[in-house]
Amino acid sequence: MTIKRQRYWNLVRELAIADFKLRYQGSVLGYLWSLVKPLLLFGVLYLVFSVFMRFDIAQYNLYLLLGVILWGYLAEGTTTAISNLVNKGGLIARVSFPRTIIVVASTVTSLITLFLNLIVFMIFFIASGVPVHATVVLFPLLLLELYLITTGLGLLISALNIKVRDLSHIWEVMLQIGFWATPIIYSMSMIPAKYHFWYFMNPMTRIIKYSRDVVIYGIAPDLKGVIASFFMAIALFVVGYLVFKKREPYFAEDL
Amino acid sequence: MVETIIEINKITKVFKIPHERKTTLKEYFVSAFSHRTYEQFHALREVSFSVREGEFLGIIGRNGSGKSTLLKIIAGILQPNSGRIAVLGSIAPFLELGVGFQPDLTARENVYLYGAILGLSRTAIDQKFDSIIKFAELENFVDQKLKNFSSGMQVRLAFSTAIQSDADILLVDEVLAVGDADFQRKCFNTFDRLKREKKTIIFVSHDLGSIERFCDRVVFIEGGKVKNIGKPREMITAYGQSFTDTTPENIEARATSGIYITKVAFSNEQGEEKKTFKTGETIRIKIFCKTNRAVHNVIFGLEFANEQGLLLSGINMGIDHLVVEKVEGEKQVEFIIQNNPFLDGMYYVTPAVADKSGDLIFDRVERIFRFYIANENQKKYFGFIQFPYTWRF
Repeated sequence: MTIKRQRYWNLVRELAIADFKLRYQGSVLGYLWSLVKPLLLFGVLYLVFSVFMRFDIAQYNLYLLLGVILWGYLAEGTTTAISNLVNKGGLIARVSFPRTIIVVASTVTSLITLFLNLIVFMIFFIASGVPVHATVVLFPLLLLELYLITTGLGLLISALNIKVRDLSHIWEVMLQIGFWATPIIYSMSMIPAKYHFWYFMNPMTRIIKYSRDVVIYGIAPDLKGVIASFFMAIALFVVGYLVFKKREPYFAEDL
Repeated sequence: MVETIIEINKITKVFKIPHERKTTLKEYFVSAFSHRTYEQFHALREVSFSVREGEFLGIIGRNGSGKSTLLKIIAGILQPNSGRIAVLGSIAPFLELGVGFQPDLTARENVYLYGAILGLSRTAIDQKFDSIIKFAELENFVDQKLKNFSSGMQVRLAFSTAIQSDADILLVDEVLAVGDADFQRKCFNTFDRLKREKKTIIFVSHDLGSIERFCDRVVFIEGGKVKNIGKPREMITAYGQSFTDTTPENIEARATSGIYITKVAFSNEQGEEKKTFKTGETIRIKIFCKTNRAVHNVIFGLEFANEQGLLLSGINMGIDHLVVEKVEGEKQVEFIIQNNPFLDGMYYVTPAVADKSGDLIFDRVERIFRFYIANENQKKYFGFIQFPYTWRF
C-alpha cells in the first residue's frame, strides 16, 4: 500500500514539474509571467480604487495584493484542473492510475505560482514598513483551507465537465462573478449588514478576510469563524472527492 | 506449483454508442425532448480464462474482435459491465508506448515523466538513466527536445524506459510494429530475457511470427468471445482458417463490422487460381467480401509486405479517386498487377475495406493471405523488387 502511495506521489510530482515547465515554454519572460499577470491586475485595480476612487482602507496596497493573489490561486488551480483532465485524455485512456492525481498535480503546480506571488507580496510588505505580527503563524492554516477548497472544486467540476463540457465555460463566468462578489477590492464594511450572512457563506470571503487579518493587521480571527470556514473547506473537498470517485470509472469511455 | 496470477471470469463489456454524442448542455436539452437512441456494441461476451504466473500469453483475433478492450479491462482502465477479474500482482500498463510524452520537454525530462507514469521512482530512474539512454541509442540527444526526434527515436526511448518497469505483469499491445530491424532484434532479445526472468506477459499482436516465437499459450478471440485457447501453432492455424469459415455463427460474430472480408484469391492472367508466381507474371488478386446490409461509398485497399512484415507498398481506392458506390450481399473486387515486380520470396497481402472518408475501417486482415514468387533460375537481383531500367555512361 505504501509503495503504491509513494508511486502516486511520485507521479503527482513529475506531472506538476512537467506542467510548470511547459506552461511558459517558448515565451521570453517565462516564469516571470506568473508574477506579471497578478501584478498587472493589481496595478490596474490599485490605480482605479486607490488613486481615482480612494477607498478608505488601511494598507490598501497590501490589502488588495493579498486578495488578488489568493483569488488568483483559486482561479488558476480550478481552471487548470478542468482543462488538464480533458487534455490528458490520452493518458487516461491508456494508463491506469487514480485520476485524482491529475487534479492534485494541477493544484500543486498552481501552488508554485502562489508561492512566487507570495514572495512578491513579501517584498511589498517589507517595503511598506508594516511590522510582522505574531498572528502570521496562522496563515499556513488558511492556505491549507484554500488548497482544500481549490482541489475540492477542481475535482467536482473537472469530473462533471467530462460529461457536460459547458461546465468549463460556466465556471469561467462564475469565477468572474465571484471576483466581484467577494471582498477583494472592497471591504466587508462597505456591504450592508443584511447581506453579511450570504457573504460569509462564500468560503473565499472568510479565507481572504482572515488572511489579511493575520498577515497585515495582526488581528486574531474569531475562533468560530475559523472553524466554520474549515468545515466548509473540508465539506467542499469531500463532496468533490466523492463525485469524482463516482464518475472516475467512466472517464476512459466518456473522453 | 504454478499459480494463477490473473483470473478472468465471465467478463462482458457493452459500449453504448449514442447515435449523436452529447457533450454540451444544449445537446442535452434538445435531446431531453426526444428519444435517446443508443446502438449497443458487445465488445466482449462472457470472456473467461486465466493467466499463470510466468506465462507468456498471446491474444490474437481480428480487428474489432475485442482484444484491446480486454487488455484495457485487465489494466483497469475500463470497467466491465459484468463478470469478475482478479489480478494478483502489479501491472505495467504499456498498452501504447510513449503515452504522456511531451514534445516540448527534453528526452531526459520525458524519461522521468514517463517513468513516473509507469510507476518508477525518481531514484530508480536516476540509477537506470544511463542504461535507458544507451539502450535507446540516444546518447547524443539527451537534452534535445522530443519534438525534434523521429518517431523511431521516440519509440526507442519509450521502449527502453518501459522495460525498466519492475511490475509482475506486463501488458504489451503491438509495440513491435515500429522501429527498424535492428531495434526490433533488441526488443526480441528483451522479450527473451523477460521470459527467462519468468515475468508474466500478455501480448497482443497481429504479428503471428512473434506470437508463435514467444508465447506459451494463445487465446484466440472472435466477435468478443473466446473462440479457443491452446498452443500457438494450433491457434494461428485456427485463426487462419476462420477467414474461410462461413458457419452462420462465425458470420454473425463478424457482422458487427458492416462489411467483412471472406477470402482473397490469387490467379494468373487466364484466371487460373494459384499461389506461386514468377517475377513479371500478371497477378490478379480478388477480394471477396460480404455484408448483411447495404453500405454506400466503400473503398478497398491493399498492402503488400515481405515475410518480415516490412511494408513494401500500400494502395487504396481513395488515392486513386475511386469509390464503390454500393455494396450489398456478396461483392468481389479485383486488383490486377501486370508485370509484377516481386523477387523470390513470400509476400503478405493485407486487404482492407473502409468507408469513403477512411475513418471507418470495416475490415482489415493482416498477415493471413500470401503468395509466393519463385523463379526457376537463380535470383538475378538482390532485395524484394525489380523494375525496368537502363544504364548510361
